[in-house]
Amino acid sequence: MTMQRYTRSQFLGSTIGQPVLIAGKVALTAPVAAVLVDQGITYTAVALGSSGNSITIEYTDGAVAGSEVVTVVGNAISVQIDDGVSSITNIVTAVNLSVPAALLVTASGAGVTGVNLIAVTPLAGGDNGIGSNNFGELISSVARSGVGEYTLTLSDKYYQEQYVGFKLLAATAVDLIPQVKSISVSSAKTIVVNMLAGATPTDILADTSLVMDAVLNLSTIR
Amino acid sequence: MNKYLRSQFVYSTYGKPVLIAGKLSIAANAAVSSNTLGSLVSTAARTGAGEYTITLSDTYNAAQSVDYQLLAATAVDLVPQIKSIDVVTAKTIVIRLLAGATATDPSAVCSLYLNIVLNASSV
Repeated sequence: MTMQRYTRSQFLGSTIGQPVLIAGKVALTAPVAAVLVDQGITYTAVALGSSGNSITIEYTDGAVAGSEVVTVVGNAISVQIDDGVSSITNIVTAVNLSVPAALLVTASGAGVTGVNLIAVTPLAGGDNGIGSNNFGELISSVARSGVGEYTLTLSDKYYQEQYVGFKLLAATAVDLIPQVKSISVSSAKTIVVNMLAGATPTDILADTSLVMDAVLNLSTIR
Repeated sequence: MNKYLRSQFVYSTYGKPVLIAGKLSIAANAAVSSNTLGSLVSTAARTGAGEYTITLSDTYNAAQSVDYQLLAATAVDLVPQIKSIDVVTAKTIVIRLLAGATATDPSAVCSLYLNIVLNASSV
């Protein structure tokens, strides 16, 4: 294979002591909320992503139908029901009226069918929508860290970042602009980027790739 | 350090590629407080509402690429756009921060990262 047309210049001139280039992309899909469907009731995590998989639902006995009692401890939602008598509508209403439960899930469903007890059961299927990436070993992980926010963690520390830029690759045009939120290459080793609609971090809705090119400096010389 | 030493060369068709990469630190009053662009840039300053001019220390045959990225701890509806590039005579690169189509000063501390590839050769 001839390389002649690439070899006019073999050195890149710069004042950066030890430049390190990291370039690549990570495939993103729309984050998905965790869900639990049981006996005609659907619980959907309020927060998109895998964090919803840690929410659990449990029905215990002891309440009177129409006066169900909802208790929330951390991500565990326990509903005291009238076993076999409390209806779908009774339980959905009780959960959605509970302020701490409504922060975690939205319950849906209707009907007069009696509901039976269930043991502690987690929601499932929550997904952060992080696909494969080709950044290489200088990036240790890519994670969704909030609504429309992604955190890239470097494998190593650097003296400073010279440049970090992001672009979106979207087959279907999307009105989102990546904006860097924070960079810490010398301590936390993180780069945080937001997808902005205007000034609002916003989750992507369709398959997209987040393209990054970064020039980091291993040296104090610049 | 092994993983950084796989390639020491850059292949390109540019005669003498030169990389300038760094950031302008922009204060809450929209002025440039400092930059990390290095000695190949002589000045970087606010030259109008939402407008920043980078003046190079030397002339070049061509600007091959000028890329940019805004960093803001609190998300802001500003998008950088290049206004002009003249590396042959004036040695300037002018970038604006746009709100819609209006150059607008940032109202809080932010950073504007630049990645500039120049050609110091006519090849």
